[in-house]
Formats: sequence, structure tokens, C-alpha cells
Amino acid sequence: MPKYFSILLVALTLSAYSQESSLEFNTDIGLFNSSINSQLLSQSYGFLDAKEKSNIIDALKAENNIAFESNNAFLYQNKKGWGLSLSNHIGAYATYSKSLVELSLLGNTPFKGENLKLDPIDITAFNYSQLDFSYQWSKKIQTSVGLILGHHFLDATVNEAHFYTDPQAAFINYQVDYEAHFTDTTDLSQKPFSKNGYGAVFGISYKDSISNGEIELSINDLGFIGWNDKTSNMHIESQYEFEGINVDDFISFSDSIIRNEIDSLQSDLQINIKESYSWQLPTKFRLSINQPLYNSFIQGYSLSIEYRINLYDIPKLTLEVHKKMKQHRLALGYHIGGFEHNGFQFSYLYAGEKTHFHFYTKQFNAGIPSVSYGLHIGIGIKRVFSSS
Amino acid sequence: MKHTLSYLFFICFLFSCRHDFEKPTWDTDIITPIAFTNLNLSNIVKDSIIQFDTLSDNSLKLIYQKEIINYNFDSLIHLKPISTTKNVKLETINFSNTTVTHSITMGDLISSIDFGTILFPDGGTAVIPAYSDLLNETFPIDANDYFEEMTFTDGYLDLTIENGLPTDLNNVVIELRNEGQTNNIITMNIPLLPSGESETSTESLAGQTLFGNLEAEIISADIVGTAPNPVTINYSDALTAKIVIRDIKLQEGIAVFPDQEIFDEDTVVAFDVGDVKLKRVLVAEGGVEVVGVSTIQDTLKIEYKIPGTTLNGQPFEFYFELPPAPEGGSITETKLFDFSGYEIDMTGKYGDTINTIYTESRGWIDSSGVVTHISLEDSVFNTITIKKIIPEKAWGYMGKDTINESQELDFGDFSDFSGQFDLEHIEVKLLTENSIGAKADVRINTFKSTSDQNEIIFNSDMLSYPISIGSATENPNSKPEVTPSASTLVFNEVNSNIDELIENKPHTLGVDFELLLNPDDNQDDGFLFKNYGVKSKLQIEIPLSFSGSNISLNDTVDVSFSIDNIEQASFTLLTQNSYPIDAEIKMYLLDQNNMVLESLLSEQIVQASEVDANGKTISSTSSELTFAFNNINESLSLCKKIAFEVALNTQPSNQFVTIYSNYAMDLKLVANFNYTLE
Repeated sequence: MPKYFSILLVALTLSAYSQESSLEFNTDIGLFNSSINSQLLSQSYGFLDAKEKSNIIDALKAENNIAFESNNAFLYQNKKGWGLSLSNHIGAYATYSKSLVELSLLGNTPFKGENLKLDPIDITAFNYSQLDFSYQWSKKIQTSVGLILGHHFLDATVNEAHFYTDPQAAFINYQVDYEAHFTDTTDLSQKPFSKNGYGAVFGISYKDSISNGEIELSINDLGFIGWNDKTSNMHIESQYEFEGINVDDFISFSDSIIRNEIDSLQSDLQINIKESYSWQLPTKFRLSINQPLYNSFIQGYSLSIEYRINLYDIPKLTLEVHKKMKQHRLALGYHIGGFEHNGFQFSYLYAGEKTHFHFYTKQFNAGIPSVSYGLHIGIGIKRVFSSS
Repeated sequence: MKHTLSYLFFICFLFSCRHDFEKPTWDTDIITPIAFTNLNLSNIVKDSIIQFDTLSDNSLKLIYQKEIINYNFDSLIHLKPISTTKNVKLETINFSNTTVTHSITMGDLISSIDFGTILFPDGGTAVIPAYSDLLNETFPIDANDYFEEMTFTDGYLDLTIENGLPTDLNNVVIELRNEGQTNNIITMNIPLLPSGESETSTESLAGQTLFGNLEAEIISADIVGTAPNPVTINYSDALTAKIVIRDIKLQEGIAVFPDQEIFDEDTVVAFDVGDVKLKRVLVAEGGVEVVGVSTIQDTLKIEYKIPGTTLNGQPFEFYFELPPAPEGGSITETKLFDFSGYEIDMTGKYGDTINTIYTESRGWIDSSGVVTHISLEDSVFNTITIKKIIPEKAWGYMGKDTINESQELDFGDFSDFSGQFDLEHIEVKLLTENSIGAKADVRINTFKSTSDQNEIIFNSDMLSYPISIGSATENPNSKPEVTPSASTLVFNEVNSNIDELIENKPHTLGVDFELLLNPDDNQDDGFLFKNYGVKSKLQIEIPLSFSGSNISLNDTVDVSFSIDNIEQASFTLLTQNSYPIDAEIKMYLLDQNNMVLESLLSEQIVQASEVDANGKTISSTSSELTFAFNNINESLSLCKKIAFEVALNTQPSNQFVTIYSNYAMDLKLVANFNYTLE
């Protein structure tokens, strides 16, 4: 019996095969940071002295991530196996280098004579809404297909960036190679849900029994969004060495000459073409294995590995243990990899006869600042109408 | 459940305990190059009067020019205005004869006879019987087309009776008088007036007044008849009375002003320009002013020509009309006719004079046919003035002229130096150019240099004599239009004390000179163009071989900065110097009142280059000078000027160093500052 409850628990969590008609609403929002914990972050307001800057730098790795996610979804599932969902997804993911932060916090004086490698710098941000139709073909296979309305988008990748200051500061040079695509942001605050692109998405999941447990393979967000022809596209390869302004009359110099030079550089780095752009969604590949445990304290565990194209450098590995107490299901897990810092996650589900309530967090460390690398909360409410 | 709820509550509490968000700020250390330049002497000294020349060994020679004399003689040949006036009174005006006729035709006479046209048809033949008192009548004589009233001081009236009838007349008595008056002007008594013949009677009009409405009365005129001979009856045959008023001398009247020439004169206008003998002048400014005053009630027309004054081959002439005066009043008109740009032949009508303009003027009245009041008091007063002529160019003998002048010339280019320097060589040329078409002598009486410490008088035997310069050469129709004649005197430390004058570092040069135009008596023809004169300039040539210590250069420049968020800054000046001169640089930031905000001083100096035994640079030297700010934010925000003070010392200090053309100094300014980011 605990075995089936475990399976059911996982199934509910995953919202895959349904034998009931239900309507549910899920929302979650989170802010993730791979390097700077809450304790350090709380010290990083106001004026940063040398020690505080040093603490920030020491906490950083060569590559660091910061992300924001917000997902909202309405899902109707019919007992005959089909489902309809309307959802909105907002995400912002940035990868930055330690060198970049060092240069920003300390200036270039400490790095005279040193060739700073500032890449990688990646930013992906999006806001789109999705209408999906899903169908449970069998116990094992479910597919979904959806239409996407894209609202806003930004994708910037710095492939190469170097910065060098001569030991005597006789010259400064930089080399940058970056690519960026972004939609028109003039109405970003007034019209957060403007129509800037259309797309399609496909998902499939396969479930099967293994040993006493279950294995599931899924591919979600396999699709694209075609952003409209007002999308700005930049591909800049630039190299510049600045050795000061050559003034014919040395003593008629003023700072406006510098500003003019900076303005000229800025314009060179902001050349863009307005044309449509096709963006591949960060497709999610997931493999999870759920096994029951014949234990009075823990009824089961699941191990999952998840990878998102263009977002994760390394897959995210999660181990979760589950406990059931009558209608209450608890799950406690630990994840490594992915976009955020390693940490605990927690889930609570109340599965009533008609109403289910789900609360979960991927940042269960949030209460301990020294190990808290983000905030996340998710809530789901489900109303079951009938079951087969 | 209880534990779960507690945990959830804790999470919410955590979220609610947000840190008071204060935007992070931090300081960064920025170092960046600001500006760079390459200095060589040609751009250190940006002055149109200082140049550098490269000698055969590539050493540099400083060439400094200063104009000390620049004089033109434009005022020498200004031609003063000259006026001619013509006053014409009516008494000299001629009136032409006036003729009025009146006829009594055969047809008129026959019509007055009962059945006359039947008895004597036109074209028929008949014997005309004798008639008495047939012609008795009074008929008007209308002279209003010529006058309404005339009072004569002299003149004559001829009354001619012409018998065109086919029959003789006898006992003809005719009286002529003003209409409505009883006294006759003239009475004719003709016992017999044969057919085809005439009789004239003349009466003097002196003291008489005639009106335009006259009348003639035939007191008696008997037709003799043609019996027994028939004659052809022609109704157009007539007895004609013709009145001729001639030799009119009018006192007053109301009449048609006749065509009349008022004046027609050729005038030679002569200008007093001293001993200058002008033959030709191109006018820069000049013209003719006509002032006409008239009491004549008709239009006076004036034509004025200066045949020898032409523009593109066309002579100068104008036409001017003085309108009729109002009744009882006068009219005045003034017109100015400009002949700027014209070329004037000053040699008169036949080319045999100088300083003269030949003119033709004519004034007349074309009869308008309108009857106007005419009086002996009527007159025309006409003044024609040739306005002051300022020539653009003048040709001829320019006369003798002597100018004495003293000038104090600013020589501050060298006074900015303080410190001591010794020039190994110096050469000063006095270049004099004469752009006048006449010989000139320049005599420099005194030449001195004045500094804060000393005044040194120039001594040289070469100035004992005047500098004689020949006449310039005109280049007609080409550029430049004048080739000046030049003279050069060369002074150096051997033939003068010129080196002492320059080493005195003067702030002014004083020159007292005398300029003589046409110093000899040859009176050769030449020319004088406006703005072309005599110039003298000093050209100081100093081979840059010198030794100096504490030579101080000072300069102040205007600057503008708007920099925020900067704390703790310093400037670093990186130099690469190939001059064998070291330099100590000080900068002072000044506010708008020239008060020192901050002094930027460096413990380092710009090192001189490495030199060989001859003082020639063998390798350049790098230096790094650091200038630290005490209060950069306040200093730069208030700073409106930067004063530079550079102290130079040649190295080695005990020998002359030569400056070569390839010497330069690379300068790069680097800023190192603490910038606050938000």
C-alpha cells in the first residue's frame, strides 16, 4: 500500500497520467544565486568598504549564476485523458564571471599589466504565455502540444571579452565579441503582455514500471518562439585601444573631449538591426526514478536528473525522500547542479477527497542566511471533480 | 501539521524581515590615459610671427618677425570738393515771334448778301458790283494759345491786311485793340487795297499790355467791284488780317514758356593737391551733387557730363529734371550721382593739364505748351558740386611728403621668459618694402628695447644713413597688382649690439622714424594705391644654440570640467624627451577670479635627453611626474583656468646646446582617481 501511495504521490507531483477530472492552479516564484548567500547579501547594501568588497569577491567562483523565475498555470484535466492548460512563464537567467565583478568593484588600477578575461557573460530573459493541450495516450505515454504568445525577450551572450591596462596606464584596451537579441522594450512597464512573438511547443513523457518503482522520461518545452521584426539584433566584434585623446593643442583640453570619445564608442557598440528572430525554448529533459521504501518513517525516494538546454551548464541532480501521513505528503530533497546553488528543497501536499493543496520550495535553506542562496516558493491548489 | 505550520510561519517571517534597502555604492580605483601629444617647437610656439627653419645640419633656427613700420599715404591725394554755380534770370530769356491770323472769306461776304449765294454761286462767274459797308464788322483775334496776358518792355506788333478777294477795296479802316477796351493798339487806314495785294502797319509794344483776347474792327471797307468784267467766284478767297508780335522783351506775363536754353557750358574743375601731379585716378568714393532752385513754372532739364570719367568705356553723365515751381514760390531739388569705380582722366579736355576734370553742363526748358506765369524776377539757381574724391588708385607724380612718427611696439613674446639665457649667435634683418610707385627714404632715428630692468639703445653704423628704396612696380591686370621694392639691412652681434637688445627680454620696442616720399627732385611719374604703403619689419633669426638656466615659461589656459563622484585623484605625466633640456612643471588651478584653488607640484622633473660631447641628443629620456590633488572635487568644479609654469635648464649646464629639427617631447597625461559608483 505505501508503494502505491508513493507512486501516487509522485504522480500527483508530476501531474502526468490522470484518472480524474480536475482543475488546478499552480504558481511559483523564485530568486536564485549560485555564489552569494543571504548573509553576504545583507551586508551588501549602502557603502561597501574594502572588506565587504573582498568578501563578495571571495564568495564568487569563476562563473556565477543568478536567476529569477515566475510561473503561473491553470490546468484542467479530464478523466478521459485530455487536458488543457493556460500558463505564463517569466524567467531571467544571468551568468557572469568573477573577473567582471572584480573589475566593477575594484576598478582597473589593481589589475595593471594583467589581461582580464571577463567572459562568459550570458543573459537570457523571457516572458511568454502558453496554451497547451495534452493527451494521455496510455498509461505510459502522454504528449502535449501548445501555442505560445511571446511578450518580451532578451538573449545576450558575450563570447569573448578581454580588458587590459598597461602597467603605466599608457593605454587601455578591450576586445569584445558579443551577440544580443531583444524585443522592443519601450512598452515594457505599460504593456507587460504585449504581442511580440508567436511560437509552438511540444512535450512528451514516458512512464514505466521498473522493479517496484517507476521510471519516467520527459521532454518539455521543446519548441521555439519567433519574435517579430522589431526585434533588435546585435552582433558586435570590437577591439579598441585607448591611449588618451590626441590633442593638437595639449593645453586646450577639457573633459568634454573624453565624453565625446565615450559617446563615439558607445554608438559603435550599440549598432543593431531590426529583424525577426527565432528563439529555441530552453528544452527540459528529465529522467526520474521513483522507488518505494518499506520504512515506517520514509515511504519512498526519488532520484531525478534534469537538464535545460542553454540554461544549465551541468544537469541538476535531485534526491528526494517522501513521507506520507494520511492525506499529507511530505518530501524533502537535496539538489546539486542546475542553475542554482546546491541546497535543500521541500514539498508539502494535502490531498483531500476533493481538494488538494500543494506548497513547496526549492530553497529550503532560506531560513539559514549563511547557506541560503535564494528564495523560492510554489503553491498549487487543485479541485477534483470526479475520478474514474 | 503543527510543525509544518510553524515552519511556514517562519518562512513568512523571514520574508517580512526585509533589510531596509539602501542602494549599494562603492569606490573604485580607476587609472586611465587622458590625453597625449607630441611637442616640438613648431607646436609649442603657435604664433604666426614665429617660424622655424632647418639648417643644413638639421639644427633649428628660430625666425621671429615683428612689423615695426606700416604706413600708407592714402590721405595724400584726397581731392577736396569743388562747386560751380549758375544763376540765370528771365531777362535773358528769348521768346519767339507770335503770329495770329484771322480771315474773312468770299463765302462769308456773299452769305451776308440777300440772295447772294444764288446771284454769286461758288465757282461761277459774275460781275461783282460795288458795295459799301459790306465788310464792316468786329471780329475776335484769339491769341490764348500763346499768351493770356503780356506786358512788354519792348517789342513790335505788325498788322498786315492781305486782300485775297477778286475785287479791289478802298477806304479800308481797321482798328486792333484788346477785347472790350476802347484804346486801340494799332489803326490802319488804307485808301486803296488792290486785289491780291497787302498792306502792313507796325506798332511798338513797349509799355503796352496785350491780352490773349484781341479784337479787330473794320471801321470801313468799300468793295470797288469788278464791273464790267466778270470774275470767277471762289468762296475761299479771303481778306486776311495777320498779327505778328515780334522782338518780345517781356516784363511779366501769363504765357506759354517757350523752348529755351538756360545754360550750356564747359567747365574745367581744378583740384589743389599741393605738389602732387595727378594724371589719372580710380575713384573709391566720389560723386556729383546737383542742387537746383527755380521759380520758373516749367520743367528745367539739366544734363551733366564728365567725358574723361569712364567706367568700362562709358563716360559719366547724368540727366536731371527740376520740376515746375509752384505759383508764387520756388522749388528746390538735390540729387547725388555716384561715380565710385569710375576712372577719371585728370589731364583735361586735350590731355595737356594735371589735377583737372573737364565737365560739360547744359540746362534747358522744353516748352510744355502750358500757359504759365512768367516774370522778369523768375530765375534758375543751379549748383553742381564734385564731392570729395577718395581715390582707390592714383597715377602721376605723387609729390614730396615727410612723415615723422614714434611707435611703441609690444614685444611680449620674449618677455614671457624669465631666467637667464645666452645666445651663441643672432642675426636681425630689417626688411623694408615700398609698395608705392615713388621712391622713398626711411631713416630710423632711434631704436630701443625696454624691459622691466633695462632700456638698451640700438647702436649700429648702418643706421647712420637713410634706407633708400626704389619705386614699386605696377602689374596691370595681374596678381599681385603691385610688386614692392625691397631693401634689407642685416644686423648681428658683430656690426651692432642687437644681441643685447634681445637678451634684455624686452616687453616693448621703441621706434622713432622718418619716412620721406620722393626725396629727390626728379618728379617722376608713379602711382599710389590705397592701402599700399611702406612697411618695415624686423626678422630675428636665432640659431637654436644656447645655454640657459631657469628659463621660465608661463601660460594660462581656460578649461572646463564637470566631474562628479571623484575622490583622491592624481595626474601622472609620462614624458619621452629628446630635448637636452630638463623641465620642472608646476600647475596651478585657478578660479574665475584667478585665485589659486590648488597647486599641483611634482617631486620629479622631466629629465633632459642624453647627449654626446657636442651636446647632441643620442637617446631620449623617459620620466614620470606625479601630481596629486588635495581636494579634487572642489578644485575641478571651481577651476576655470590652469596656469602652467615651466622652468627649463639646458643640460649640460655649462655648454651651448643646439636644438635639432627631429627633437620632440612625447607627453601623455594619465589620471588615477578614486571614483564612487552607485
